[in-house]
Amino acid sequence: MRKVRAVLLALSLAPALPALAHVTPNVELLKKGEFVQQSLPGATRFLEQKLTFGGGDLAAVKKATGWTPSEEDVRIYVGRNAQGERVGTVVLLWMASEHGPVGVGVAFGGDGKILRAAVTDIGSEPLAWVRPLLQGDGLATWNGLALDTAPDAAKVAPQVTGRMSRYYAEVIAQGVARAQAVERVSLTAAK
Amino acid sequence: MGGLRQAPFEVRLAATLFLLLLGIADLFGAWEVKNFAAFTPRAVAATVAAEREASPMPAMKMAGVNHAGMASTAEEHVVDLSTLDRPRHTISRDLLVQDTHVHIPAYALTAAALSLVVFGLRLSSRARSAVVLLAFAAPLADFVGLWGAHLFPAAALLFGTLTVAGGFAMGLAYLFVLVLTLAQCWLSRPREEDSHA
Repeated sequence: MRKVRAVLLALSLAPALPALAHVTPNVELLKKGEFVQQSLPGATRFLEQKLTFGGGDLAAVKKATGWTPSEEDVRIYVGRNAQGERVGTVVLLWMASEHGPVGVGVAFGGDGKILRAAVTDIGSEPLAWVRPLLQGDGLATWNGLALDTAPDAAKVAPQVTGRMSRYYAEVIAQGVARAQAVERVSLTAAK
Repeated sequence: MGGLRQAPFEVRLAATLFLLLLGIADLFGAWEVKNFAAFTPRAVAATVAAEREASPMPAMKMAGVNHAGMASTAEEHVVDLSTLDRPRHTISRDLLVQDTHVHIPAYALTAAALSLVVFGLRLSSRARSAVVLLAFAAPLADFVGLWGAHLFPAAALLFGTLTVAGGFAMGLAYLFVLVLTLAQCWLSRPREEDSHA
């Protein structure tokens, strides 16, 4: 009887617990540390860069992307070689979407060209629509894209035609465009 | 009102199974909390209020914005890449909107179902009203606390306490209904009632 009471007590108290969390779990598709390291193989040192946007740069980013960087979380990691030269940058940022979050990571070479773009994290709900885009490395279509060239969502896994998947291709492309805008400022500010 | 004890076997069975199934869902909810722990008012406050634009990624805010006309500047400091993947769970406004949208209807339906069971229990009208109020007010308090902590970070601890209290109040309402249902439907039924069932 005592065991029955204990089970009943556990059952009855359990409803309180989820109320304390309310966290919609996200799925981690890539370890961000590994993503940074693997994307910048020539780097021997990794530094986190904190940007302070000038008014002109901020306006330029907003004009290019419709987004104000200070409103979102962005992380910038710079890879430097043994001589201290900048070999590349990784921009990690967060895109909100209708059905959940999308974490986008973009690695840039020293010349600003995209080395690699990836989805690092995603909400469990949109995962089903995004996974087909990532299969076969669909985002590789943007590798080598120059800093002033906008990423074309239509080129990501064009064989995937589902409406929601195409919507998420647009979301990811917007994330890459934001990363490009941040990278432009980062390169200029670091000079 | 109060007729659950004399209700046919299948009605009592349905009420009991509903409560037990709800308990299983709650156990998995507890598991989720274990994964994304926020058991204390302080932790709830930190989860909701610490980073108002929080992402699932550990945040590095832009250092700021210079006045118009000034050039952008950059500072760099060495980072340990292994720290990038340290889990830190926060709830941004977007997620809070989503969670509110998803949870509130489920809570309302659960409270309504619990209320239906309460109507069948042998209780005074005042006690029934109190449990019904508790069943609906507890989730409301929970979300008022979450939103309060998010919107008013200065009072986040207070609102975090409200969230925790709301959560445990939900548990209390469930416990009350479960125990009384088991007692009245199965454990303390008069023998003559059993024979009529």
